[in-house]
Amino acid sequence: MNPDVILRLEQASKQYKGKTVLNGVSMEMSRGETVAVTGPNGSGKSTLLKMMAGLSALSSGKRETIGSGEGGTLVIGYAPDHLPKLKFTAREYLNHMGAIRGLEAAARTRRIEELLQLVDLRDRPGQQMKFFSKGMLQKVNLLQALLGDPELLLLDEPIGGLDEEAQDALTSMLLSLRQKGTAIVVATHEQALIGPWAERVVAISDGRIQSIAATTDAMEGKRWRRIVCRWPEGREEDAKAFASWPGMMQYRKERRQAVYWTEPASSDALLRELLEAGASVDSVTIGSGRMV
Amino acid sequence: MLTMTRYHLAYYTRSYRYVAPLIAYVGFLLFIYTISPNPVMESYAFSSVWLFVVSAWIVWGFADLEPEVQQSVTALHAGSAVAYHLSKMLLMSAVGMLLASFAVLYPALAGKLERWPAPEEWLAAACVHTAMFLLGMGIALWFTDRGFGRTAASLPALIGVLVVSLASAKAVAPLPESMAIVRWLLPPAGILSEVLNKLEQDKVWTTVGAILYAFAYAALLCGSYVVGAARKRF
Repeated sequence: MNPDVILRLEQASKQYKGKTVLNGVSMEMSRGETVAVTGPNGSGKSTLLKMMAGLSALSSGKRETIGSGEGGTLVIGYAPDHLPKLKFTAREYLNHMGAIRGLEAAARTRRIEELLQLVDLRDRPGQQMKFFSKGMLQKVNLLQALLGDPELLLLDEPIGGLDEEAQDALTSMLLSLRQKGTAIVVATHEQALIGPWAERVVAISDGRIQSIAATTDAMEGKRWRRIVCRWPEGREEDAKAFASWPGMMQYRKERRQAVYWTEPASSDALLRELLEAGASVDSVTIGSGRMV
Repeated sequence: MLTMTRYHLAYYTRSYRYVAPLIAYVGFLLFIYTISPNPVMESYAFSSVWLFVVSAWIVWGFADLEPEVQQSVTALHAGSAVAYHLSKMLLMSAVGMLLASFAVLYPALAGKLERWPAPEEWLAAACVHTAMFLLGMGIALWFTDRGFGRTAASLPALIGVLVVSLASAKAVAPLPESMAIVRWLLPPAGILSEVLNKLEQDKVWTTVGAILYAFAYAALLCGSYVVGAARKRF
């Protein structure tokens, strides 16, 4: 595994009650990488996040992680799409979650106060979470995910219920986490959240990855190689598997052709692998900036 | 593990789900001991059966108490689905020990028994009450979301299994003699209550064997539940 890669899903599938929720998803996450997962409701975004978190068992495929936690475990923070209304105050709840994570009492209290200041929760003293608004619950949800200084942060629809001020705070928080080297995956259908911080956008539909593309901001001035090739009939899954190739910037399926945009340093190795895997290369183009 | 158990305890106490089974358990025992004196082992046999039923009630009410989405968050913080489920069982076992202690100590200390129990009677009563709680817990867990799944049929099915376990002698009576072993395949709650009733007549190894079998049965039920529940994840 590439030393920067912290999580890899390989042909991961999930069946639930006879229905395929995710089908043959291959994806890699590296340190400091930011990815937005988009798609309509029920497309499999939440399941993909739970699978990445290790909370959903794979029906087939493989999940590998490597992190700097105890015994090489990956420290993951996960915020589901909502937090239930619990009979705890925000501090009590965060204190319990921090303790379960193994944070020392003093460090835990300090961290909780730090995080609460960051989001400006505005709860009343002793107010239990069952009396919180949707936005307040969402703030606590985000905070619990950040408690253990995660290496990989997984956020499912994080801006639901947040006011504009809190949305801005979330965006700047994501940017600062990215600078610290935290890998972030956000499942969202809000385009507003993708632009400022996501480097890659993974579009998912019917449980399959439809495209992986670098965002315009991330592409500014970047050089790339575009490789257009054809795969033999019935090799669609193999074509898609190359979308998670190291250095891959974007992948798109165009009729009978598969188009890969890759970093120049990886293009030779990718070409060799594509040919060895049975693909026939139609063209290679050099470019920079917007990928066309 | 202890931090998670503490969290589950806080969650459980704030839910007030314990109120009804606790009142029923303590209230009924206080009620039946209003008449005294009572025969020692028959009284313990009765209270152990009641504990078996109440333990299933408590565990069935507790196992799916935390909303599923919060379960996934808690388990992720814990870093292990197995630890998550074990911590819940640890809390329930602690509750079971308290209830078992009450059933064993109260009638003796309050002078409700016809005589002071002998040491082997204390020991047998404590072991059987504990085993009964664990059996009730092991059975109830399988009728929750992470067991067979919770449907409209779960509660009637759970009650059915509890009844068959307690009345296992009658349930297998119509079967031919050669199939008497079937009784040992059912949860041995009925066998355990007989152990207390027949403590004086039975040989020591018969009593010890039955109690150990019940503990092993409960461990199998609880252990397989944890493995299955952890494999299902969230």
